[in-house]
Amino acid sequence: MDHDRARDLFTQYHEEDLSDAELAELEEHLAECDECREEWETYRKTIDGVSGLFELAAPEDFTRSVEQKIRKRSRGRFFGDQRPKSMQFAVVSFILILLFILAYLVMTAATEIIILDESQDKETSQEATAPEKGEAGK
Amino acid sequence: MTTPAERRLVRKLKARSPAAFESLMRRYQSPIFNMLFRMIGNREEAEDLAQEVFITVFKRIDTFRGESSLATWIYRIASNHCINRKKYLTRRKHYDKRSFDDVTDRDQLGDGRVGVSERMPRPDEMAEGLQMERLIQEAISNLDEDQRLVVVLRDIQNLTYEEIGEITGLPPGTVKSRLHRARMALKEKLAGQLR
Repeated sequence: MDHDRARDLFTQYHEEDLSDAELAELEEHLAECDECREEWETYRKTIDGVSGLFELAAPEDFTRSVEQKIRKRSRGRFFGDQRPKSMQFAVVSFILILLFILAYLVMTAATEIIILDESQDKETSQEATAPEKGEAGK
Repeated sequence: MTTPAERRLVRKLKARSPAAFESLMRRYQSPIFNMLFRMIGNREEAEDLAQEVFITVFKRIDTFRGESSLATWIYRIASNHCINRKKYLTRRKHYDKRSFDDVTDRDQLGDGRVGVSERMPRPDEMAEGLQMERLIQEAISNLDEDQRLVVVLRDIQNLTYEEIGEITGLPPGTVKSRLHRARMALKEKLAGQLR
């Protein structure tokens, strides 16, 4: 095997993609040829260096930024309501509770007014009947 | 080519489900961002481009027919965006070599870095690591566009030849030969600088 042929096989060697015969021939050449062995070492270190580069993560607000852009470009058609579902639920619940309390207060007040009216009616009718009784006694 | 779970996700995406879209982004945003950063060499540009990729995914999900996996379809959109952006930046002459310095900036890597060793590196090791990172990124950035894409997809994103073929539209044999030429070019650029 000559040097050029050996170097042509580096990628397949690295990917473990050589036939048994090619593998044996290349390894034999590398064992004998200092120059190609050195080339192979540099090749291997290069790929290790590239594979070992830092893996960068997207910024934390990435999803939000994309959704905001879609909302803006679709004029609010998509991702229109940015409030979380739990918050929407809390708002609806709060409004319902308020309505319930309001309804309770109105009903209580209405009942008190009716009771008051009834007691006033009673007092008025008692006052009206009292002189009649007096006159009857005479 | 797609799994049942992926088909369900695609159905929801086609119905424009916000929850499905958020789930898709959570899964792919970092790999796509990382790929674009390695292709472009500039964090801001990569972030902007990654956002455009997901906007395109949202807009064009109806055209996804499931002939390839969702991941390769998204990578294809990302590589097309990347090629177009590079052309645009070259035309505008806005893009320059300063962008490579981004990678040596500690803040640029900051909290966005994952997969780091648990042992805290010494300052000299850190400086050396960052210097090496800069050298490798610069060597990658100086590759031809086609070679860079193949190296990034194979050696950084760990995709298979078949997946790279689906993304680039190249036969596996061409992917292999292009990868070999790219790696040999990188080896020449970095010879003598690697420990």
